[in-house]
Amino acid sequence: MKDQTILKVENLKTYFPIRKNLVQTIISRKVEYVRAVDDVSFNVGEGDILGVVGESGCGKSTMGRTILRLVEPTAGKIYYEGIDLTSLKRKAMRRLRRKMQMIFQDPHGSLNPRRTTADILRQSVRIHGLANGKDEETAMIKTTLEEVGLQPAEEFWGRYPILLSGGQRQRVGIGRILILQPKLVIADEPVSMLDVSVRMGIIELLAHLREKFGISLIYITHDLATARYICDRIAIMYLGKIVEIAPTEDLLKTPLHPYAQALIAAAPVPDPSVEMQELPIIGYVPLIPSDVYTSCRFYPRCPYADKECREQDPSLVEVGPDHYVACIKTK
Amino acid sequence: MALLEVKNLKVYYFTRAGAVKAADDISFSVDKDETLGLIGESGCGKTTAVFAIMRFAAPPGRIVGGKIIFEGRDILTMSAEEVRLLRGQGIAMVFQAAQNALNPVMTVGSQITEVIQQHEQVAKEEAWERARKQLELVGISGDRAKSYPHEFSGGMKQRVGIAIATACNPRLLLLDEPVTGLDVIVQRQLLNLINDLRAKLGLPIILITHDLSVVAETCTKVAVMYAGKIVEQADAVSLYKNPAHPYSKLLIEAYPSIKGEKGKLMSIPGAPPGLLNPPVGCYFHPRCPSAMDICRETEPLEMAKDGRLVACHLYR
Repeated sequence: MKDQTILKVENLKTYFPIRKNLVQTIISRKVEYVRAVDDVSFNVGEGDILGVVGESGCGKSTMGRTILRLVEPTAGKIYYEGIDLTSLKRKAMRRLRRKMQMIFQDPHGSLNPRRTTADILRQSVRIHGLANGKDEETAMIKTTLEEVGLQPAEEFWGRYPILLSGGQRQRVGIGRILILQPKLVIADEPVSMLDVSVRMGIIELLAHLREKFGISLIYITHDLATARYICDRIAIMYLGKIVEIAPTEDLLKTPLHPYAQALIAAAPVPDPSVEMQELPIIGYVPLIPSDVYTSCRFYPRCPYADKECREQDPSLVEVGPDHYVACIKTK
Repeated sequence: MALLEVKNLKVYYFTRAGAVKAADDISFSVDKDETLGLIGESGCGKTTAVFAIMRFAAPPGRIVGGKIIFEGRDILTMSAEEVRLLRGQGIAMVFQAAQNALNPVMTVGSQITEVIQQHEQVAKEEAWERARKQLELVGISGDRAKSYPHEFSGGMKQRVGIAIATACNPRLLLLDEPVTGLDVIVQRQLLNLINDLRAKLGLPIILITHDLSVVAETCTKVAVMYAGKIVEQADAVSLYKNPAHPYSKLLIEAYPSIKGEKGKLMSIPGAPPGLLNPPVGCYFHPRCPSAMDICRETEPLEMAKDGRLVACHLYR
């Protein structure tokens, strides 16, 4: 990690109340919550790429949205360059948001179908009042389009999203935020809806933007393989908690948390001569996880779980250089 | 003779702008104990080709030519009633995104019984009993037959889809993107199930996917499709070890892996051609690193080379 910390997240919690029917509400006043993000802390350095990996429903997207305050946090602090985002008023937050942007998963749904590529980028410029006059605006859009690989810019300028391929649409989505010159970008599954053949192109583009502009990135994904190619560090999430966080190759070579081990064992290998291993995991992600909030979240599915795991909720402990694990068995 | 033989199949979509040749002169075969993987990028016609096996073609699409011979009979010349009986009983299909393919207002048990009673004269109780057995077969407790689809997770819904498809003991199973959109762990559990089913029921499978690792983990044979044509067919091991067609090669190189050394990032430049106005010559030449003059002029024909079929001028 570089010296300069750009984002610091401390004990972040995002809870969603569970809606109940009227009778239940009258009988018991207690409100129950889904703990989508539960006591998460981490840092992101300048120009760092942090991968957040987990299964659907583990809270990784909610966490990304909470950092940008697209979802309000229940508790905890988020510091961006030392500024506490959780205490900012809406207007101040909006001004800061130019520096913190998001790339969405679905490039088909996140672009306005009635706007051309240039319009989509122009909208970003206008909202934030970045250009003085039309000429500057046009020049900005042109360089940005070329920067994200939509070359020559004239060819893509007037195209509507429907005339673009999935990979090209995702490039427009990236261009729309790049034109704002952000410092922190949260990419929520940016390639999972794309064909394998174009995925790597987008990953390369993200890596290039980090090199050229020093953009820090939080790369949210369920796919360890693509994460491996750009992330400096990877955090593994399970049911709202980070269970292990470590430098990428370190984590892939010596995963310590049983869940991280299962994720890595399950990762598909594109080689038919390799035998599939047994999975060191039991069952499914619980649909209503409320009964594991006081124990280790993972114990019902863990092959090594015993009585101790049921009694306490482990927190992250440093086990090696920059390698943290939340499992009592690794102590 | 193979269980299923598809010969020179052509499925075109007739749009106002002209005919889109989504499956153009496609031939392949599947035998007992085989799992064929059909792989390609989105829009390459893999789903269209497999739909044709069930004699489905969504308008404005039409099957315009070729033969589909299943157990010695051409499906394309059967009567409508024969085709109705064939679907489900002879050949069954699990559709893409089974999550949405299930009926949300029927319990999964009654969705399975419905299929059984459509095809066989059995009492309701017996059908229900079989529905429970089907659920157990795919790893779901029989007691959950009375649950509705929304009470299941994505991976379990996909299992229910397989339970419905195999309810009438089909002789061929078609799976369209069975694990796309599922998490790695669920995906792996499902691939294990697919392999188990093949071992237990001896069921030949055609599997459509864009994911190379899915094919690697389940299939014995692979057909690579590009822009409505099959460019290479081979057994799975030799295709992965030694791909012949430049497209297969690039596809394999573009696939990231977490095992072994981290290789260089690769992606295939450009995008697949529009099928309304495909390029002259080989459809892949605008993206091909080894394109020659002949590739821009004449279309390569499928030819046999080292026990595989490949359509590329490199091997003339």
